[in-house]
Amino acid sequence: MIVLDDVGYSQLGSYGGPIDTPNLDKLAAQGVRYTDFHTTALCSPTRAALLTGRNHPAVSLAAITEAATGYPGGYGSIPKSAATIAEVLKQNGYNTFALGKWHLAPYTAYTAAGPFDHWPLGMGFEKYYGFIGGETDQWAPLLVQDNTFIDAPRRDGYHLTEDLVDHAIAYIRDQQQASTGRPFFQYLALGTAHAPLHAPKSYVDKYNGRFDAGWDAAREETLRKQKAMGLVPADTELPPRNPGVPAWADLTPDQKTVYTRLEQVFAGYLDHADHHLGRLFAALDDMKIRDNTLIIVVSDNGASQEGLQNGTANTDRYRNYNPDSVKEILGQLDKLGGPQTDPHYPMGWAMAGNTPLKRWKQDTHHGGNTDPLIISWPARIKAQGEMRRQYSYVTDIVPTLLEATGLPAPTSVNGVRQMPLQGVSMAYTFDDPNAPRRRKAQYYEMLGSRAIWSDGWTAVAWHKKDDDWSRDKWELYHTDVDLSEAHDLAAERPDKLHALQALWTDEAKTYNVLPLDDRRYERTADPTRPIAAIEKSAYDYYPGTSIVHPLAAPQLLGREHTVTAYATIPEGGAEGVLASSGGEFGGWSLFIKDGRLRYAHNYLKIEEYDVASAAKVPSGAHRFSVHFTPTGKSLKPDFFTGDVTLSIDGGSVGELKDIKMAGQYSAVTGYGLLIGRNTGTPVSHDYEPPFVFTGALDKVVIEVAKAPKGEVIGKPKNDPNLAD
Amino acid sequence: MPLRARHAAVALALALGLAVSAKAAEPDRTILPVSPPDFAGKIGETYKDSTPDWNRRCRSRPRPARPTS
Repeated sequence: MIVLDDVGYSQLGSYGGPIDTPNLDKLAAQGVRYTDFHTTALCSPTRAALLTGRNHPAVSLAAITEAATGYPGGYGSIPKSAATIAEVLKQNGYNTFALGKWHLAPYTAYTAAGPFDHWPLGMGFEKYYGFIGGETDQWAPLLVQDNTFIDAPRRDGYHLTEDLVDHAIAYIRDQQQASTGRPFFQYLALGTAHAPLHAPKSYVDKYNGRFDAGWDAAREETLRKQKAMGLVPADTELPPRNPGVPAWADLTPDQKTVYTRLEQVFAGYLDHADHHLGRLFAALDDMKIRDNTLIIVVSDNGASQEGLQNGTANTDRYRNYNPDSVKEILGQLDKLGGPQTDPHYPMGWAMAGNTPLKRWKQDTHHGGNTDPLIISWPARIKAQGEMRRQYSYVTDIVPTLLEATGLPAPTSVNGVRQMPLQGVSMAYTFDDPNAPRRRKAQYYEMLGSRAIWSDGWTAVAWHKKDDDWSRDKWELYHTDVDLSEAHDLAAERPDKLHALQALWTDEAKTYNVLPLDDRRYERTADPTRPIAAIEKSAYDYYPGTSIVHPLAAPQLLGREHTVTAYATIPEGGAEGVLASSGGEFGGWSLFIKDGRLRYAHNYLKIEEYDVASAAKVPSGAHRFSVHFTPTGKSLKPDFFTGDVTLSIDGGSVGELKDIKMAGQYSAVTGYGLLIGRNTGTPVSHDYEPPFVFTGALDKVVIEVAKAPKGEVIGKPKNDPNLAD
Repeated sequence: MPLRARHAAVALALALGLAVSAKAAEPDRTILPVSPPDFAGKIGETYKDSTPDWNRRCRSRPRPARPTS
């Protein structure tokens, strides 16, 4: 099973898209692709439903794990009454491997001490290599192998996609050469094409000129191809541009230049992934196991609008309500996609990536929840390149796999009674393109927006954050004949709308959907939420240990804190990083270079502060520390201000005044806390990672004050480029 | 009932209640995995008229070790 990330309905070549995906297209030609397949519209929820065969709030994944709530639908922790397909297959004799993104562990479990029962090895997989959480730097990922955080590999040209596919092939080769005769289940969840959009420059440059006509022309061309290939009916209409997306013709030359290059980066990222997936398929051919291998390729939600209107060269900037301007991105044009950028494309390209559908990721309109799905199994599915039009939903995959493998759904797993599967096997569609669909209904809910599909009709209500739900406008579409939701029939068919609304309410009560909750970043500011580490006034860290994930490290942002390294400098001196947190896109580092103690603070790559001791550090055992005293807080953009004192053995050796500290960097993308080194990307370009400390480091103590009262991460309103 | 006795009765009842609820919060650890407790919050239409309960989410934490002496 291959899971693509944030790839919209129309971004693969076999779905009419403008990006070169020859290997996935070939796979589609060797099987079937579904034209009316749906997901939850968000990452963790779709993956939970995909692996368990239950609706996302029924397994406590109403939203991403980091946005967990204190309600059964939103705990962010899959219950043991919903065993994954990996667990079921493992206990039926399959070897099971997971690779890549694992966004299914509770955020409180992102620690070196687990708990590991929701990490891949606790959820039915025997081996794992990938990253925990929503995204990671593709050039310098924060990696996990089995149950251990490991440092990012360091080699020229390293890219996570290539590394994941290398491991995927190795896992299968190991399994095959063992010659046990056992089948295997492999779950490969690429970071592609979620931000950061990271692609080799040759792949980006390949698309020079491909997107110059802009997103409006791209939509029209994609729809033309979709009609020509029979993916959508010939009378499918293109709905108006999504709210907030300007006409391409109205953009300035600079905007067009920046937006085009960002789309090229996205295209290069996806093209590069396709190339490496081709290596995986070729490896199956070489092992002569391809014919009887069932391959499923799916995406988790629609193309992502999270790059907002301009896109960005640093996603942490918009998380801190300080998005980069077109001019700023223009200055980095040649670097976009490379290790010194953390890009996302603008929402106009997300709209085009969901052609011909309305809206995008996070939304319950079809643009958010309609995705490509390719199934190929030459030994069993004789269809070659055909389409399947039966409505299907992500919870249908597990029942399909069980039917394909001839296994029953277990009623009890490890002594825990299992909740019933909530999907319908799609195996009935394999041989018969015209088989009547077996799905009757499916509800949707994501971050407050609602929808329900039943028997070819869809009622949908987009929800504006902070609005009263009673003010949401419900729309009604006959989606059997209007996939693009172009004709709202709510006024003509109130009876139908009311019936669907009532059905939505019934389904919501059945599957833990309530309470409706449109909070976003506010959830992480809820002081009643559990935290990963017990709150203490001081934490000890030791060299030679693994990275501490940002969500499990002491929360220093805006809090008074002191970082003290206890180290011995040999005669002749020492250098290297004593402690660091973050990297290229924000963070801090306490290090010794050229004999001087230094503290570098990188504020979102906007401002970089640096202070060094005037005198060289003496040999012998010493305390090297940096103290931060907060002095203020800004909401727009979101940052703290404060003063820094650098000390040796308690005596000040340097100061910084009024530095800016990000309000909330590192929550998702940032590299974590490291002792004695700075692997990943460098906080300061005054050294080359990992810049391992060459003296004797005993430990690092981080003392941190409790959160200041009234610390609320809020979002200024009425700025269209600061949407959640 | 005299006021003082009434206060004592209330205190006793509260203490018993706390003891009972403390006992109820302790899961049966003879059957593993430990079953999650029932949701003890309130679910309304929206989060604004609901009360969260994180207890179930936190259940995987071990019981604090007892002194062995």
